[in-house]
Amino acid sequence: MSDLGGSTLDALERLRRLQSVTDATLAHLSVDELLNELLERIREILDADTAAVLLMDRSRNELVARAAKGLEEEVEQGVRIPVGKGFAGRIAAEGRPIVLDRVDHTTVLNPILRQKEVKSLVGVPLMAQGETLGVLHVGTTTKRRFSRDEVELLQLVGDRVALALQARLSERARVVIETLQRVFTPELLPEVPGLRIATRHLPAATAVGVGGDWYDAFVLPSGDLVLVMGDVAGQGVTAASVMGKARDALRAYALTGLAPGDIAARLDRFLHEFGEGEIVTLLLGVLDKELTTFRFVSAGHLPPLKVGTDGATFAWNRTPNPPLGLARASRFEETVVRLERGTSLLLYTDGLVERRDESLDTGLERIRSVAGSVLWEGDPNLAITDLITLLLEDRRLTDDAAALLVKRPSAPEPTFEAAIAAQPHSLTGIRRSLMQWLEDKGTSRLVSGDVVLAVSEACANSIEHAYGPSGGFVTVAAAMDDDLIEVEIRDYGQWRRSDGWKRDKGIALMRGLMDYVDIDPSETGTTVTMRKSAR
Amino acid sequence: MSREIASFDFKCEGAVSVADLSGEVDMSNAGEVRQRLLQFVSNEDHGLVLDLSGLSFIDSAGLHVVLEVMTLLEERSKQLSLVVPPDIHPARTIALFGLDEFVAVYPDREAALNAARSWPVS
Repeated sequence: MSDLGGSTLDALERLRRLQSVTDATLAHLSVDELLNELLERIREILDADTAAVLLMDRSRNELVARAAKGLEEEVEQGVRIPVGKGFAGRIAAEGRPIVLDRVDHTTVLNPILRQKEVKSLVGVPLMAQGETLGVLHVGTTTKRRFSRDEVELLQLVGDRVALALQARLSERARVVIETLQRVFTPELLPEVPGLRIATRHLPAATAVGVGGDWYDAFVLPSGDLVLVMGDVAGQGVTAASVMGKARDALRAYALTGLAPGDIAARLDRFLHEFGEGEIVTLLLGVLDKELTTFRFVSAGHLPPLKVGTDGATFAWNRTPNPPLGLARASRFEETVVRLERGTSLLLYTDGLVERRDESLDTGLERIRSVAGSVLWEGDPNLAITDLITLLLEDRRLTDDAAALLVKRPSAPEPTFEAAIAAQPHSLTGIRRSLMQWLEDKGTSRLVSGDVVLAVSEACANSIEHAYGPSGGFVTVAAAMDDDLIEVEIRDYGQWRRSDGWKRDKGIALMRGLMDYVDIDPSETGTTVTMRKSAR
Repeated sequence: MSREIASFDFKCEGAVSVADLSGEVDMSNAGEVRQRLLQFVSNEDHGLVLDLSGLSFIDSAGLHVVLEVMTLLEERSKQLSLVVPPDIHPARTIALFGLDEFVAVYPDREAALNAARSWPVS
């Protein structure tokens, strides 16, 4: 085996041997298959007796034996070498090849190498993009002096192994991260009558960039809608797992009925204690069930955009809050945005805004102007697609990006309008004509029955309570848009004080029948607005 | 009733009165419905089975009347039960209103009459 020792390898021969470890037939092997195959070939090229790969376990700063030839016990026993200690540990720590002519307990930590009576060793670091992934070493059971050429050859082989390894490890990490993101992204968005929600999550084009962007949307038992857009300021599996923790903790805090600022404060502490040291930016808001008030807190996150027919404006948090995980803020300031009919809110992460070659302000101005031009009309799902297409142009995403759009459609034009005398005998007529209108719209018998009963109840209230003996009239308007039925019953008198249980039971019945009931009394009359999904 | 939107059909099954109430009941005819039902139950009856199978609509005013009838019959030591097939919209109204917490509700007439056989003599 010493026929190579000391001799100069012919350039062509080196090339041929190198090719044997970058062979295309290796492309489809798993990490372990790949390492085993490569070690076999390396042992052959260098005419060595043993060959082994140890991979870095960064969380414990140790090397772990992953594949070996002639030293299989090393892998079976899961040998671990602290970085900086022993032969392999020094290679990893110093990032350079080491040649050993004498193997004993002063130079080698691993007892298996000594038991196998390995006499000479040469090892190289496995480096990719400045990062040490592990160590590759070969050994002989007869004493041998490895030449500089052989060390160089082993390093060249090591570089190729490192590249192949990195591609596979990051591909595997990518699968893990994407699985986590799938698990932690709501599969079904909540259906809120009177609101349209559309979301997009775009993973980065490069595996390295994939990380911890997430969004969430869920309805609380109170009927309020919670909207979340978050970004873990890290990448990889750790960021994705922190994202999962943050999402679950946030849901748990939200379920207790806390205000957004209080949820943020608790989540801040939570991430500080249990979050692997990652920093999280978060936009968290609650849209009340009347769909009019969005109360939000931004923890170091980009501001939501409010989009109406007159363009888009940022809703900046009045006082900026720090990101979560630092546990430095004593309170998180909230901001309130009104959501009028016909307006939308866009929540997003910086992946959609930032470009390497420009300032954040430029990116923000771009999303503001694009959102203002494409988000104010039409179907939210199509609008969000347009937005992303226009924002990204043909760029590849280097960071994750996520966007969540909620839209309160404009009030549909009522297509049913009627006015009835405020007398009990008017009720049958309004029920018949409303039922006919609902049937014409293709509404199911059950939903039609519910709407007709709720309207009849509301009219009965007006007839009974709004007017004196001289009487008056009640108007009924109904509209249907996108499977949402909206009715409005209006009188022009003043309701007498409740006679208690009886009227309350009637109103409770209306609330049971419809998704949303609002009774708005004023000096000039009472307006009852009710909504129900036709689905 | 000035304009009939509900109709009655009364008969006796032994010591139980059976009333078919069909059509619609709302605030315009609820008072009259109460009147007719109470008049119909004789002193010899053990109670009333109110069959709503033919009812297409009832509102909270109508359901209050059913509750009042029940209370007034109870004062005369008489029972009330309802026949409400689950597929008619009033079944949903009754459930949402919670009337079934106060009054025995049966899905068909036979079940209601079977149960009525064990009603105590008033």
